[in-house]
Amino acid sequence: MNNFTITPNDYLNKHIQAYYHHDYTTFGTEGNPDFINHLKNSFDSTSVSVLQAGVNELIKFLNEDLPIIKNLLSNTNLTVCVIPRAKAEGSYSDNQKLFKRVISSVVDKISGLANGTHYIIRQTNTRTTHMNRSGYGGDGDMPYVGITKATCNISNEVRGKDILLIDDIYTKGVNIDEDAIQALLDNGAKSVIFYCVAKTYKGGIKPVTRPQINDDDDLPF
Amino acid sequence: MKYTDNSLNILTAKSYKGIGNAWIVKNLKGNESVDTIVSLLNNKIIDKTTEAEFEHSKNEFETKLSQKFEECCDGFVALGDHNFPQYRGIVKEIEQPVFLYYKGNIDLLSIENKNISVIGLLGPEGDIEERERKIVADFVKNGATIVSGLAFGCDSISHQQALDSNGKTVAILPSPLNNILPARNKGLAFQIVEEGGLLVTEYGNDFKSQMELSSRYKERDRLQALFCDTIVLAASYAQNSAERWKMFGQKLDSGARLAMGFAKEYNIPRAVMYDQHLDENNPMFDLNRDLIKEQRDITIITQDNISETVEKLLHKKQTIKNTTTVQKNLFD
Repeated sequence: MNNFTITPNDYLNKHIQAYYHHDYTTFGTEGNPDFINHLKNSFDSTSVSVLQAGVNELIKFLNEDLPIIKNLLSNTNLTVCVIPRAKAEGSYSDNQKLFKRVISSVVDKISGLANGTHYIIRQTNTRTTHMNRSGYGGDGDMPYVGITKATCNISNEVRGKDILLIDDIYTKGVNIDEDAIQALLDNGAKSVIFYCVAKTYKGGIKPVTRPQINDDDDLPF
Repeated sequence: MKYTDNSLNILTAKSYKGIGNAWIVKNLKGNESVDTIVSLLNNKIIDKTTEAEFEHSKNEFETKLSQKFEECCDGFVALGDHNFPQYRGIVKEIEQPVFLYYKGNIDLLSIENKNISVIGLLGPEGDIEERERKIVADFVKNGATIVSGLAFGCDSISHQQALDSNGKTVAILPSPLNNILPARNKGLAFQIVEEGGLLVTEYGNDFKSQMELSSRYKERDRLQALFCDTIVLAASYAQNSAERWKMFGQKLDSGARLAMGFAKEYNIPRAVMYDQHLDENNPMFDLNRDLIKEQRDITIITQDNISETVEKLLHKKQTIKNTTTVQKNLFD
């Protein structure tokens, strides 16, 4: 797992400590966490075996990373929330909501983490940003400041809580995550930290062969 | 953590397959641009790299280092940094240090500082401790910094006496700073830092095999030699002590033998603690006797000559100055 900081901008008014597991480079290239796309199941057409493999991968990384994050903040009781998908909750089938369902079941099994995966529910469709360029973005607005509050129902339960907010992929500049973090803070969350399975690697296709630094104990000196 | 862009570049360069300390010493002076480093690397490595790839790795290492060593390490220095300690004596390229992690005051290893390594065996008996302490106390009184390896026995004694005499002491470790070895001496290590001393190591990773650990001990022994102005052997068995004295079933050899050997090779002045009438039948002084035989003009510290010998050693001009020039300031 790696850490990074989400920096303030128009959408967000403070620095947020964040963690990610993979670099997201390009779908279909070696080392890219393609299972994230499989789990999105955008057209509800992905085979059950591919979905199952994706679920297993996700469980593996969550079980690895969430306890580490919990231990890093040893004196804090974290409540886990999930970034909602772009369209209204009711428009997705169960097999298109696997990301959230898996997180919910993993969190229930880790003591010390509370399940707040139902705290943010999208009511109004927004544009699916990563598919917009290819013409499959669907209806709804592109991100604007306050879009989360305008299109989601945010539970009063967030008040006073330390939230670990999870998304599948973080891409700097899209601002969906920044906006959601600010929405939680504005709704009274005591603090928010952020975890994503993958972070978009800005250099495009990233070489995966060398230098090898994946092993925690693999510093050059 | 304190570090320069240069030290991060050197660390990143080392991550490439086929790049070792010797390549770094041969090709880099320190403070080269990434552009230059990448083109030098590409002369050597098979899979060519790019500036973007180098920068990416560098960022990842920076994150990893700050996560791993946040609490236990004050910084790291590399070849070309103004405070990277210069070695004493003549050291072949492959054995020259290029990178150090540290906690405490790294300037204690500065070439301007008088550093005396005091080392010896793990289980000293009889009056060895008392005699070693007297010598260390005298060096400290005369302004020296005491260097040793944090091992049990003579090493611990020299660190401890340096602290008891209100002096500064430097421990050179075979382990990363987040896993100090030997673990039972962690308390002593922390005390060394609290009293203004220094912990220093070439390693950021834990050792992966017993073989790697023994080669690290050896490499550490070389640093004890090349970062001091004089190395003093308190007491040690020799390699063949067990046979000599028919004391089988024990490991009697010590790293002190290696450190004294490196000092000879590097032309670092050596001294031994030895009193003929007290020690001639004590196997714990086998190495001392061997060294006296090997080098006729080696300095011998007896109970009666401590203060004049210490003074003489401290005022000895360095026979060979390491001539690497280091730019201390941008405008020098």
